[in-house]
Amino acid sequence: MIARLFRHWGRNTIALLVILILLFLSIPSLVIVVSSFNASPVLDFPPRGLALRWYLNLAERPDFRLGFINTLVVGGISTLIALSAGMGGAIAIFRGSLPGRQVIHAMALSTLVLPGVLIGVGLLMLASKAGGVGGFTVVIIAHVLMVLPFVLRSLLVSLENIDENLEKAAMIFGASPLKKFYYVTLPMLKPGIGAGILFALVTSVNEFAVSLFVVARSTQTLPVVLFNYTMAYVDPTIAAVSTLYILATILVVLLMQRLGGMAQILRLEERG
Amino acid sequence: MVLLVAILCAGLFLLFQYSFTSYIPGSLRVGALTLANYQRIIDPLYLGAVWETMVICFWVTTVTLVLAYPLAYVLVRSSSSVVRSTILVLTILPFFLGVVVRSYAWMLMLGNRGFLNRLLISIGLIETPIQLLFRRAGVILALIQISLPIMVILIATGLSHIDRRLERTAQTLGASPIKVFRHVTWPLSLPGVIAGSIVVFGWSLSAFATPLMIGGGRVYVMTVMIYDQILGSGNYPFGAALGVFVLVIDLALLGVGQGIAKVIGRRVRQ
Amino acid sequence: MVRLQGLSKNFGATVAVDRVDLEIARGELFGLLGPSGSGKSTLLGLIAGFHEPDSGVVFIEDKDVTAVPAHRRNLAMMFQNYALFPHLNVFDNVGFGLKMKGVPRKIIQEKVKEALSIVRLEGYENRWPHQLSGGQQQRVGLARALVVDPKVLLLDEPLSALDKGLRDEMRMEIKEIQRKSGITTIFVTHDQNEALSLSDRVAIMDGGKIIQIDSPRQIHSRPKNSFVARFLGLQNVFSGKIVRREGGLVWVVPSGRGQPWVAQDRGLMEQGECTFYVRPERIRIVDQPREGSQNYLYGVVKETTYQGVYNEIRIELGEGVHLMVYDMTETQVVGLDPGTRVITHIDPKDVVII
Repeated sequence: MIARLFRHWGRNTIALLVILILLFLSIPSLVIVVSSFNASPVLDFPPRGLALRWYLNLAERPDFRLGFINTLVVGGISTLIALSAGMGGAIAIFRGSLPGRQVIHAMALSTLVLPGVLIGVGLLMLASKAGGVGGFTVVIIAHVLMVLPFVLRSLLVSLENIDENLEKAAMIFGASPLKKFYYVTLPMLKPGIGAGILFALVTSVNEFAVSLFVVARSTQTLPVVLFNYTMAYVDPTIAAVSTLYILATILVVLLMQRLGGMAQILRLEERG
Repeated sequence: MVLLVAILCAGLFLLFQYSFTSYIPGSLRVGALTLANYQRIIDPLYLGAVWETMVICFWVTTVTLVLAYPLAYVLVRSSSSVVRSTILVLTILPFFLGVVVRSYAWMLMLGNRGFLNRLLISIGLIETPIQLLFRRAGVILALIQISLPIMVILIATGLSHIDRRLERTAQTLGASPIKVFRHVTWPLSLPGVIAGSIVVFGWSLSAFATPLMIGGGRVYVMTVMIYDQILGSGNYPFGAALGVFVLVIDLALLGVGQGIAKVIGRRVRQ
Repeated sequence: MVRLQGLSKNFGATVAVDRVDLEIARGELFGLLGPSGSGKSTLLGLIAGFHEPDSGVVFIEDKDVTAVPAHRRNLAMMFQNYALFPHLNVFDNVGFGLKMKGVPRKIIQEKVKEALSIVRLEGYENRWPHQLSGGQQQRVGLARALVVDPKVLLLDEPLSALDKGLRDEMRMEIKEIQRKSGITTIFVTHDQNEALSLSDRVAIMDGGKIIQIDSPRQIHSRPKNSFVARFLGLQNVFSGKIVRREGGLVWVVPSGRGQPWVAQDRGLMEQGECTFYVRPERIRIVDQPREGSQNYLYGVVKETTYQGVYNEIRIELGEGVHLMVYDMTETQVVGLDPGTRVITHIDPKDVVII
């Protein structure tokens, strides 16, 4: 009897715990959204009045516009570069016989674990030696490096999942290596490519640490712009941007859930 | 792709090289080779930063682990797909927001007149606002919330790989749910737990935006230290030396973590 | 048609195929039989062109194709797990080979239709692989292979993934289609029933080498050595020593000890080591030995298992020599509980020396 009581009780406490933790996870976002409508520039809570002035401020300031465009451009280009480089790399790692490929594989993934600050500083030094400090080239290279692990991982997982016999079938029925890649391998890699693009874009758009070191005023990405603003002003404009960010993210996540199910994409479940 | 890796290596190598050069104040040129930069690190100011970083990482990792485990467990084991989806979405969402936005959110939360203080005052736990912003505690709190998604995902993956039949077997052998957890589920989930802990620890070591924004320059972490030297003082050589120092510590910790993972992995298999 | 000379292939330290010589005639249905790891799949892969041999030559239609890559050898293959392209529908799957060759679309349409009707899947052009059952998928695989008019058709354990009824059905279909079209066919299997029932000739492989090549009937009645015998599922296979030859009879002692068995001398073996076996259904259990005939062996019943049509009785003849006896349930001998002492009788001509 006591055991049954405890089990019932125990389940409820766990449920409560989970809810509390989820609240802990989500409240900051809520606070941001609410604060973005704060009429006064003071960062107190709850806000004393509601207004849209910070959103208007956003639209008017040139640095936010610049940051936004830069982020889009850099994000798009670096994703494309990472995809092509990653594709070649993934195939080489998976099927190649080059002796150093595991080392290269590890190095390509290293930007995931190395402190962003170090990567940023290293690239900055490289850029100053090569004379391209703050230019788009450096920024794009930086983003490609940061995004590569995600792309590579997704592609490799997809590659590993391709049935070996399918490759044999393609070969035996007359597909030259090039045709095989185009007609069989590539179509089967679509999920990996999709996941790769998604993670790459998200990572690039949010990349901060490395970017801070390598950008110049004209090439600032949005996160850097946000940061600089926070250091200079104390008003909730950033809250407005953040709210927009949150909206965009919710859309993306819902889209993902609809398209493939997040759990699958994160490999928590097997494809049904 | 090899080209890219080469660039990365070149950058890191330069870092290394710079660290051995001497600093010429007021200019970006560097002088002769010297070990002076490394000697400066021994200064308590900088060693203090190392300690600070370690303390923060420790707290972040442990608390995140404690909070993430129940979440991961319910995520994997709940029979309701609504519950699972909700947890998943709520967990992943913050992940996609990026560090700047999330750190900013905590800046709002932690202020003297921010959400947290207001909440605590209104429920009567405290009388005057506690200073959380620009304090270590605030940084830790923020980092925990930021690290939760990663930890949850990693633990959940580990949990999802556990063969449920093992648990059922234990049950048929007479073990109560608590015993089943202690003797079967928990040990088998360890690989995920360890992976999560290593990743979160390493990640908090590298954390930059959060300590910078929430610490406001008063919470001195290694990464912020480097930032100060490079973009603040322009002292590239010393910054580089610090960078190498951080790299070494980082790699050492990764190595230790892998070692622990292997040992526990072997034991779990028995 | 297909000729292999001195073919060898190693994977690292493992020898997969060891100096194999083989000749397969045009129009033949040839089976490669062997346990896993025997090298049969690798051999097929070498013929297909997936691997390059470390040494040796592969001839197809008297042309040396050793250096020709797989996609130019003009062959076709069926796989154990069907290997249908999941992102293509049935029509595109079947037509894949033709498309790769650059055949005009109109002709592809005709040929695909024809192929699908041969495998009795007319009208399935627009279906997708995941909508089909295992048997249907395999038939699409067959259509895909036939439609390209290959020089040689290769089958890699094509029936293993199907359940029994389907398997028998497909087996018959493959045999018939092969007969009608006359395509040289080589298939790989570990199932001896499959190999023996389908093939014109069978090669048994072990450890990368071909142990015996023969027609199914020959292999079954004259297995070359104890490995082949055991692989074919023969029971009561023993190695032993010939101790005496006299009057058209040979005495063999199993494993060098115990009572000698008497076999008919077929003039095959010199003195010394040999392998022999006796079919379980050819052993009689009797009450007492009869004068004038040989081969009465004494033993103890270890176990009796009911198998429907017959009883399976395991008898220990002493010194670890076990005998399997199939006793027809109809003519049941009573009182065969474990522990009973029995006398078994084997007609010398049923003791076969390999």
